[in-house]
Amino acid sequence: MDRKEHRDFVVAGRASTAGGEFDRVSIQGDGHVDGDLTCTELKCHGKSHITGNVKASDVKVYGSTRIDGRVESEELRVRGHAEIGGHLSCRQMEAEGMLHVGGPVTAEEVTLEGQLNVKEDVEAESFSAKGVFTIDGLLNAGQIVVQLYGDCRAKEIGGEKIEVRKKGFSFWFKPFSHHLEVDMIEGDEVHLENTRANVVRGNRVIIGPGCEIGLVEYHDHFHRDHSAKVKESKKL
Amino acid sequence: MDEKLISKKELLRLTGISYGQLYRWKRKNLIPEEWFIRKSTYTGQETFFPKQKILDRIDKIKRMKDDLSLDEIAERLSPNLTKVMLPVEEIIKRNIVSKGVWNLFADEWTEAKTLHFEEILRLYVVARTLKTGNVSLEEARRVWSMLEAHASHIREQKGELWIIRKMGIAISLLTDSVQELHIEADAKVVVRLSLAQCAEELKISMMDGGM
Repeated sequence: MDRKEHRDFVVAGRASTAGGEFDRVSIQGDGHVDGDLTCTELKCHGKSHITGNVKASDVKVYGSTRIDGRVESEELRVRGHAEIGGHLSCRQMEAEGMLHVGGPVTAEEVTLEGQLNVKEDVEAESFSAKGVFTIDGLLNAGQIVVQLYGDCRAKEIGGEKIEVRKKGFSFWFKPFSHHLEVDMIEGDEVHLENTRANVVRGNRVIIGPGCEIGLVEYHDHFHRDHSAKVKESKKL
Repeated sequence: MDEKLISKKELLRLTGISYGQLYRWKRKNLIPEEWFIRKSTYTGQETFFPKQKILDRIDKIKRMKDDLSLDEIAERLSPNLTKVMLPVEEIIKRNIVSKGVWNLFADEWTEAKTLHFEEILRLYVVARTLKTGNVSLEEARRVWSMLEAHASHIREQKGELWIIRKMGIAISLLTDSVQELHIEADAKVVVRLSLAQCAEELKISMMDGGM
């Protein structure tokens, strides 16, 4: 996008616009955009509401932002609270605050250190979480690394390498340790701890402590921690 | 649907690909979303695929994989159809537009025997209005020239086409976006078409014959 052509939109108090094309958009007070927004950079420090779709190279939310439509951006960083109604597609996504997405998420790299709720599927090359997530659809990624800092949930998980670990040393508070709940996990290499799943399928499957699994189907290798509960396992 | 289905497990066994590969190809849109068919079985939900289609597709991907990146393969498998040109015989053969409709407007292209996507879409929209049976040939011709005069609607695939009739007289409207349109009580909407949806339908019928 050409930087020179468009003006900036800066809100330091309270303002509304009907949307359109801008260079930099910075909202520090209370901003309302009634329509679609195209810009190079969108920064929200205050409170903002955008009723349309957003197309930007860089979106940063430090305050509280609601976008009713789609978001298409190279980078998205949420440190405050963000709500996106439609499809979120970006190259790099970092959620350190709270992010709700009503549609699907497509990204290259997802880093989560806060809370993420997605109503549909999440697709990424790498998905790394040290926070809490609820994904109502399929989490599909090449590399999935989850450290359980809270209870996480997904309908299904599929990918190449899937690793779920409980956080650090939690033997003091074992009854309160966090879990991942999922219907089905399928991957080439699967290593799980503290996971409850109906079905786990993979080439190499390691079921660690704290797991409750209905059925494990594996190709090459299967290892089960003595404390893990596995109802049934099958070599294919 | 009487197509033969294959379970995911059986598919992986037959083709020798791994879960990771299948998920990666799904991510890269090498396998269409609608081929993943969810069904309940006694072990819970299972995924099935249309057998012949998925086996052909995986065979194709495996053959291309050594020379092309996944993104390049995706581009070849579902090309950007808006750049496609199609010969007239092909358009009629695939029943995108009937011979009758083509003949109505054929004199527009005295020389051209190959049409651009935009031109095909314009023909398709007119064919759709005729198909409703509520529009006369003369009215369809007027729709045609209206679409020609406002070519950007077809180019950007946006807006809606309305045909409203009152006491035998029809008026066609082309709107940018319609939230709601109110018409008087004894007038009747005989055609309402979204151009984006027509473009979508057209793409699908172009894909079916070409893949």
